[in-house]
Amino acid sequence: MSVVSQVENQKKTQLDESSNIIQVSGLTKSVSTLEGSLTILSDINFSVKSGESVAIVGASGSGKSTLLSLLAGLDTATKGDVILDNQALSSLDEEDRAQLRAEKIGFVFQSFMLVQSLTALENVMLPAELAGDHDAKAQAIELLDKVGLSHRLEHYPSQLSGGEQQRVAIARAFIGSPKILFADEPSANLDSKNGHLIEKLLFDLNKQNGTTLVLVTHDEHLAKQCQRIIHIEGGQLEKISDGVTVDTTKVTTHVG
Amino acid sequence: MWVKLAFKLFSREFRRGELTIIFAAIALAVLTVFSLSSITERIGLNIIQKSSDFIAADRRLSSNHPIDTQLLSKANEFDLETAKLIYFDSMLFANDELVLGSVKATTQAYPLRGKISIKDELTSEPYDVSTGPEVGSIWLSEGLFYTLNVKIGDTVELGAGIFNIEKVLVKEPDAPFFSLSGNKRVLLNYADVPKTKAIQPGSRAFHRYLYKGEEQQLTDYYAWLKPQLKSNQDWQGIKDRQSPLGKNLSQAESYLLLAGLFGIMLAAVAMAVSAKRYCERQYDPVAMMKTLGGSRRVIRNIFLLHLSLVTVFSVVVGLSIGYVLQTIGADYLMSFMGAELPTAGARPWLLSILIGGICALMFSLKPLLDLFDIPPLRVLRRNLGDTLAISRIHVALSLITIFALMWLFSGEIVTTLILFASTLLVIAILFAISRLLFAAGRSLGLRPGSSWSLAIATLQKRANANAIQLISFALAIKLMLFLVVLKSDIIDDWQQQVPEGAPNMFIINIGEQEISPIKQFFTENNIIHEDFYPVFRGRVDAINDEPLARKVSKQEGEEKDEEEREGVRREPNLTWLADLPESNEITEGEWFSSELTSEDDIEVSVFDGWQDRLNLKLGDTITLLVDEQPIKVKVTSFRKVDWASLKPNFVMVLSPNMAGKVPVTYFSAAQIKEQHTKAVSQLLQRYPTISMIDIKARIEQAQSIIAQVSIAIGFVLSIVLISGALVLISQVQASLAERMQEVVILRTLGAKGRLIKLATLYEFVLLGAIAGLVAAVVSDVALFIIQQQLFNVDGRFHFYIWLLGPMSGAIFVSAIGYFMVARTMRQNTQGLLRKLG
Repeated sequence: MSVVSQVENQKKTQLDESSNIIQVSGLTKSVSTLEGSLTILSDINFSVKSGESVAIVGASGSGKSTLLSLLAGLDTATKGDVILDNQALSSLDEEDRAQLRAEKIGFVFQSFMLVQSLTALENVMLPAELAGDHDAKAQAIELLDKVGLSHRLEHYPSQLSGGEQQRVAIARAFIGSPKILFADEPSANLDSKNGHLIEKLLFDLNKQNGTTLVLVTHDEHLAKQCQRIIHIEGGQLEKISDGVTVDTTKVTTHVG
Repeated sequence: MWVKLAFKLFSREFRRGELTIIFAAIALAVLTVFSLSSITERIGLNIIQKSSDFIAADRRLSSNHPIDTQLLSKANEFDLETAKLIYFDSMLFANDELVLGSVKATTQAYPLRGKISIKDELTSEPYDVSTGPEVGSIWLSEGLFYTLNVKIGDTVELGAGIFNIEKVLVKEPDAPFFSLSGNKRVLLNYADVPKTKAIQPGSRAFHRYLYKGEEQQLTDYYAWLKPQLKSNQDWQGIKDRQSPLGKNLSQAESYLLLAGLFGIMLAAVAMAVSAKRYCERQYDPVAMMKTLGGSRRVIRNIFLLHLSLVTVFSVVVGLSIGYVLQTIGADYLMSFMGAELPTAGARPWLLSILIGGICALMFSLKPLLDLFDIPPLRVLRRNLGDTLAISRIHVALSLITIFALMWLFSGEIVTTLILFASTLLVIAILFAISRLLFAAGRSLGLRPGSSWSLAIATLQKRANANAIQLISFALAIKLMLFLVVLKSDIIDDWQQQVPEGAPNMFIINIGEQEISPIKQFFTENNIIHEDFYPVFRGRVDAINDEPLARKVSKQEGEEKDEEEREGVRREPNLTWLADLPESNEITEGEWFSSELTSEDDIEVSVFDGWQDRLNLKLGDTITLLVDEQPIKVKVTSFRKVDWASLKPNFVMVLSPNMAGKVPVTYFSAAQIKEQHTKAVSQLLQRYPTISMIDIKARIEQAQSIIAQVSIAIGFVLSIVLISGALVLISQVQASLAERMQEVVILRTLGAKGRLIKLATLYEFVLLGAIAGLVAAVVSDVALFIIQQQLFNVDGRFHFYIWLLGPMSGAIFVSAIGYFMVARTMRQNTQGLLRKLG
């Protein structure tokens, strides 16, 4: 590689890092029902910078979970596109999207979604093992230690409380150092004490790892801890507001 | 690598019991197929060996012409043991008495199977030997000692030869069961035949070669022999023979076959349901893995490896348990039968491994493919993928597989079709019932809060899941009912064959003037006896005036003529009767009118087996040669004859207006008890021309075989019943696991344990009763068809099972359900909630 091109590449990388890691343009999702086509999401546009934390809020049925599924490539859009870390999801098939999730995305779900037949430690290691990385044990133990579960490594999900299960899920989300973390109502199934603990963990780890966090919630308090809040109403992007710890220098939005 | 992850997941899933049902189902299929097929094969081999005794060989080649000796010497090249037999009638002479005896001359190797029973003196006990008389000696049946007035050690002239009377011949293994010459039997060494000069060109003799050896060698030899067989040569094995036990044996074989088929069906049902259930329980983990970036390929590999591991593991366990089970079973049978059971070959091993593999692959294929298709989005939309639950392809694939397995196991398409169609009928009826229940229950508007309304509400709500459960319950109950009822029917039939008080002695050669003193003798001694039938011998000489070929020496080119009317080689015993015998049934034409007079044509009713052999039709005229006197008779009916009945049966029965036209002797049968023996021998001395044929030994032999086969059938039935019970238990368990969530919700909402338990109990009572009723009705229909098609007996309905089915279904299913739900109730609600994850 020539010196010139090396310099160009470095410039490009620097540019990428400072630019949007998620770019949503004209995103629309319709489903066909017996009564005809039903639009769940209509022409959504926004972008998220690398390292930023964004909350998606809205009432039940507003389309926020659909938006999350499209952002994570769990579902495909009817129109428009999502560009994740410079890759257009519409150009990827299911296998490629799985590969992308394996490399760049972590998840935390409302219902924890742990594999019941695996221990806490094995659940945390699962994404790494699926990606073919078998040296993830040390990292998994470290992550479980960070979420305060170093004494529960060999416990099965059924032997853990709800809060503990969600902490395992958080540790699992951070293994393999994903660039983006999607969380779907992470504290909704927990009591307020455990809920707060989980939220704190999520934000702390997010900060430590420099991960981009996209959080779906109907909890205003939780949403306000994010840098920006995207309000969805009836499938439309209603407004984007700032959170408490807003850092405006990092935010560029262009709502279309 | 995914392999490590796959193994880890597998061992955990296994320990958690997720794979238990699928494992148990494959193991059950393997162990059922293995234990049944090996026991069946061993019993089958034993039965064949036993039956081979009846022809004193494994196979025999018979002809009324001398058989080329090259055919026999060739058999040695196939490692077959052989013996040579010749039957002929010849005059015996001693003490100025002249009697026509039925001679059987045999080589030393005779009998190849079974034993000859002989006595050293008339008064001594009989014992068994494995070879016939030596050169120069002769063995005579008891009757000949009386008529010739001879004793052991005397000499007797047979034809032109003089022989030393060495033994009293009691029984040969292949003695004809019912033969009117039964009491004038002579056994001679084959090498002595020339001395008698009885066999001249043109004399009537019957030749027979006997063979014994491995089944494969016999088959190979027959393959070599077949193209060279002449039309007058007949190759027979035990199964071809119309022996009284032939029917029992083939019924027993059919039963064992059916039992095996049912075992496979039961296991297949368990497998189809459990594979689907297992895969459904994996929907969440798979969706999760896909979300976490697991590729389709990795997920596919993981679950295919699971399937392979569980298959291998369960096949090994199934074979091990099956081996132990069949060893115990065989030991038990051997100790009961007092006989060595031959070892089964490789077939049971191969068949059970193959069937285990096919079960695992075919029943899991569609659920697994569905599993691979589970969208990752399920992690957010929790019910996504549930619509895949009922797949027509899975049902179709499972049905095709069950059909293929049954066919593979039985090799019989008709039986497979009947059983399969009746199974489809069960499924169709039950689907209809579930739909009806659903529709009816909705309009009932039951009182809320009662156990019954909760039970019915649950039944409706789970209409589809219940349909599947109903089907599996009903199938298990149907198969069990079917086998239980069929077993009792078969065994009843067999016992009727030799009822208490049946005649055990045939009395033959009774002259007309001897009838009344013998009748009087029977009355005086309180001996139960049958009617006296007129009997005479006649030969079919021509049909519609076309002579029947019966040339002694004939040219190759002439063989065609004989082929056309092939098969009549002996003089059958003939009679006339006014009424159709009980064990006979007219298949074509009509029985004789009672108005026939002596001027009318003589009519004949012919055994339907001879209809094809002689190419006969109604209205044909048969010319019979009776004492060289031609008698023309008109065919007016054909009859089915039950040769299995231990009663005298006739190939041709003539109309009563035959009376007085030919000289006859009379025949009867009586039950002679131990205390009559002395009186009977006095009778025989007073009337030396009459003979008695003791069929007691034959009846006992038949009874002992029937007893053995009944036990074998009982054993096999119990294996299938255990399988059926296991299937029912696993089904109830599976359905309870699915009900757990409801139980937890009801419990959490404060429902009393009693309410939940009772609701479950009632629900299972309803399920069991409906399943049992449908099972009873359908198995009765299937039984009706199977009995006619496979067992050649009249189909009948068994209305008692219409009650037994629903009752046993309700009791069994609800008992298991109640027990299991009661156990669940003992856990606290928090524990149950946790368990649901």
